[in-house]
Amino acid sequence: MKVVVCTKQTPSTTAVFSVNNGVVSWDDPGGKPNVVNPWDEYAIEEGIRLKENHGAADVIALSIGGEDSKEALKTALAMGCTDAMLVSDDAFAGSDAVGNARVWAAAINQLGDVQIAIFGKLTIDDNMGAAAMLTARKLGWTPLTFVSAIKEVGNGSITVERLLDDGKETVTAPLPVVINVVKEINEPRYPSFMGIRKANRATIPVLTGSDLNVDGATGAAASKVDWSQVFPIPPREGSVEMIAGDSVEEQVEILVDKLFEEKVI
Amino acid sequence: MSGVWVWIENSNGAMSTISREVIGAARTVADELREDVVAIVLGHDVASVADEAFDLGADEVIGCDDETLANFRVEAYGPLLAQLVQEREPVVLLFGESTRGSDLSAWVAAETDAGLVPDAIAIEVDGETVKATRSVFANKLLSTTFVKDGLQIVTLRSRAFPQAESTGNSGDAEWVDAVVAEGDIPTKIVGFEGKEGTVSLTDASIIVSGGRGVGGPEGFEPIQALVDVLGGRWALRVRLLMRVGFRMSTRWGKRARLSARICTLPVALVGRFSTRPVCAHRKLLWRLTKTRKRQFSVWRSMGLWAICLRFCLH
Ligand SMILES: Cc1cc2nc3c(=O)[nH]c(=O)nc-3n(C[C@H](O)[C@H](O)[C@H](O)COP(=O)(O)OP(=O)(O)OC[C@H]3O[C@@H](n4cnc5c(N)ncnc54)[C@H](O)[C@@H]3O)c2cc1C
Ligand SMILES: Nc1ncnc2c1ncn2[C@@H]1O[C@H](COP(=O)(O)O)[C@@H](O)[C@H]1O
Repeated sequence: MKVVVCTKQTPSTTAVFSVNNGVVSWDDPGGKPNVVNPWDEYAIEEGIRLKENHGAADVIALSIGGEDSKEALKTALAMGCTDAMLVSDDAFAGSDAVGNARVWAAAINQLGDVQIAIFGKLTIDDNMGAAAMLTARKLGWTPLTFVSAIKEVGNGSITVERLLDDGKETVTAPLPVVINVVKEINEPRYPSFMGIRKANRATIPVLTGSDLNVDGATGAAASKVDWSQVFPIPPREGSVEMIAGDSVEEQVEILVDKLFEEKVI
Repeated sequence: MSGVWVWIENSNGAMSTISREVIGAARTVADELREDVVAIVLGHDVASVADEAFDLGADEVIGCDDETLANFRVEAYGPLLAQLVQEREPVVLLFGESTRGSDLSAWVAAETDAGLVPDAIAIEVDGETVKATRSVFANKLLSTTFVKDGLQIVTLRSRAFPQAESTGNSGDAEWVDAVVAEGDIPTKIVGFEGKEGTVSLTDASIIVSGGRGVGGPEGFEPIQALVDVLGGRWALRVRLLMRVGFRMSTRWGKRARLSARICTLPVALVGRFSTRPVCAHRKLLWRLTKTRKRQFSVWRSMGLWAICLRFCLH
């Protein structure tokens, strides 16, 4: 059984962003402006655990992006993924989420015999959280989202616990499945020293559009969504009024009157 | 293409709060686009939900009442909604950004190859287009995002929009058949553990919180008093992490995980810092020996114990 873990290189959460003429750039005071998308660390860990506990033969980290995405893949290898693959083609640049899902589906199909594709809950740059469901539909596989525990894998099916708004649901579904995981699922491990050495020596294969059988349009021209207008959060405006009074009781009375006036209470 | 459609999330015959908010937003969008609000009510025994949708301002209701829809499964709901969308071509399709709304909106977007704009915190209509404000780049920037072409699927963040108010309107829903038979739904729900009885933070209109800044148990007294005045209930008490020689970090990634490991240590100290002493040493023992067994060596555990004891005896 092969397991694929999709991971993306994203800005660090401590990065400081600036926007100039709609172009977003960032730097990190900690010196590491890009990291593995934090939610994907849980996906990578769960992929590795499927190998350790459920007999998965290969756990392949997959990223769609530019050359710098190899950093994220190397982290995945250092943590314990067996292989990594980068899909990179200028023709995919600017795809919307549905377009990207066509690429993921093609890449996962290309790997062959994949039974479980694992995604993180969302990527912190685009903040979409839709990749797993979109890819599942493009593959025609069963989607299992918000997975907080994989309970059983075997006999062609999987049982998972899902963390929903109103409770925990346990579901069983036949393989193959696309899942996305929430942070309650595990505690991601640190890359081991040996893992880091292995990852540094690894040559990561890069596939382009011509290596894949992508079904449907991708790239900026095919994108149905425009997210080009990005801007800093406007500073909050407000004023401060100090409540003066001779005693605390008097101050409280004035405050309560004001709260009533403003219909706060 | 016509109609602003709203998916009405419901369970056990009750409409979810987020759907009341989405109907309210749909009304504003539809009025500006000069379209009707069409509520989509799927489930089992949902006649009262359809009535409520009319009351909250829907001009039309398309419903499906079927046993296969009793519990939400995206493989039952998705094909039905996608088929309705393909046949009747709404202009806008709105969902609440709940776990189920997120699943269903993405399913329909994939099936209909439509543009998807999730988790809007504000929307405005510009011509024929719904422009959404989304928070992006680790919530540090905002983006105005919209669908350029075809069906516009937008999901709305919970509590970002006011709920629709009762209009007193009523109407007759159009009922359609389910499109997937039980035998063709691959996912089977084998258990559900609800959150009944607990307080839902997402549904709270006021959240009172206190943190390390209050200094100690006595610092919580005014917080408790405020909760009492507002008639609130305690939703959760998160253990306070004190500086035990480590810098607590709220950032994601490596350092956050580092502190997550260290969190297990101050758990034992919760009695000292939270309003109610809830934790005995037994709990620490359990934490250190059971949960952390694989991560803490004997020597490290002993070291942590020593720090802990110093702290508790202090
Ligand atoms: C802030 C933001 C908001 C978004 N909002 C939405 C939304 O509301 N709805 C929606 O549908 N989508 C949205 N998206 C897009 C969507 O989520 C996709 O994930 C997105 O298209 C992927 O874009 P990217 O920026 O990660 O990659 P891109 O930079 O667009 O790269 C995509 C592909 O182009 C190729 N590529 C890029 N650069 C290079 C290079 N230098 N060399 C070789 N190949 C390259 C890679 O192969 C990669 O596969 C948003 C994206 C962002 C960043
Ligand atoms: N470019 C990418 N390459 C690989 N995986 C990705 C990429 N973008 C998103 N993902 C995966 O999809 C998940 C959800 O992404 P999103 O729907 O974009 O928020 C992430 O947690 C990743 O697992």
